[in-house]
Amino acid sequence: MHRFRRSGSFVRFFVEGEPADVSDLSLLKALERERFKPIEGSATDDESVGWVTRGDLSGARFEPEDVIAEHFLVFALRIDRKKVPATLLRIHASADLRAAASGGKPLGRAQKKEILEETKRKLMARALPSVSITDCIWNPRRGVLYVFATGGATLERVARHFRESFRRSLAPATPSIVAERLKLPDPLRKVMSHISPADLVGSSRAASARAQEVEA
Amino acid sequence: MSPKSAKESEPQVARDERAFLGEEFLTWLWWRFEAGESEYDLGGGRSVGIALDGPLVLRDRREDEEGKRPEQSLRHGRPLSGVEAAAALKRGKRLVRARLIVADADREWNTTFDAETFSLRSCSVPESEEEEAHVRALETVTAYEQISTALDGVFRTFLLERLSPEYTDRSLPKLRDWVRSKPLS
Repeated sequence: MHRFRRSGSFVRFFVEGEPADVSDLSLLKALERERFKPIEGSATDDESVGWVTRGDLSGARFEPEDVIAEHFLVFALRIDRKKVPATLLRIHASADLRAAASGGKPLGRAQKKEILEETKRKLMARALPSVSITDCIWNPRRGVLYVFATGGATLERVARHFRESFRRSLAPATPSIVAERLKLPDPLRKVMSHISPADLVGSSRAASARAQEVEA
Repeated sequence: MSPKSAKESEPQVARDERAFLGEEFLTWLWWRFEAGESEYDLGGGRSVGIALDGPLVLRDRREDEEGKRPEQSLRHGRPLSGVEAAAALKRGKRLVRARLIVADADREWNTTFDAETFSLRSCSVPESEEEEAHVRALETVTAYEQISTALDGVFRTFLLERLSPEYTDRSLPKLRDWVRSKPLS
């Protein structure tokens, strides 16, 4: 296994479904099947999402030793996005329209649209993507996925791709969900179902007024 | 390769109706830390010590007219012992984010804990002393799970106390005494 970061921000998800084992090759195959495919040079695709390994961030190789680390699967979600800058598109489009109209015959609406689309395709093929890599650690035996991101959009993207790859949903580790998994005694689980917030201050009007003064 | 439509994404996570337990948990850790009771037995011969530090984020219990719970961030100096933090607690604010130093035997993790999402931000794990690269990498990966399970274990200790019938008569008065005893000058 390749070196892994010694610090980072992460969110935990609980993986629904039966526990699995890293030796279950279907997991590795699912990762490989939904791996990242590059869009550099593509004139039509503006986004690509897929799994990669720490050993090969291109998504070309999925060696078990790059992914399996004892009872963990270690991989990453790569998201590439390409965008043609609007101003650049405008400049090229007007040049292409001028060139097309140089014969003297006015261009029809359909012709203009076709030229604009061709200009966009031409620039898209030359555009370089922005790349984001989100590390993931999955312990399939315990059913826990650690995702090294905190942004909602990235987390949703990982959750969606995970569900599409493994047919398993993810539940974020909120206080309630963590509590449910802690195997609390039954009587306490019942208390949990109708618990309300505790008043940690109690009633002391004078103290509260003084605190308000300090805060102000 | 092409993206699925945005609307087809994961179902939105329903708001956790008991998210306040995370805030109460973090506030409880603060109280235990200041009371010198920050060593937690996790069973199986494992125990951890947890110290708190700034920056802190405290949040009102109630929503304002815009439906938001006003937050207060305390970064400078020693926010845990500052009058601003004391005043916020006395006004009923809850600790929702704080730096935690978690020590387990001779290893130490340093992270910012978010009580609402249980996420760990800027989490640094102990350096492995193993010479072989793949063993070092495995230890690093394992260390992220270890801090998560340690915090789960401490959260369980909190819940056993919080959900017990004695909470209102025993623990809550002590917590309130601690809040009241925090100096405002």
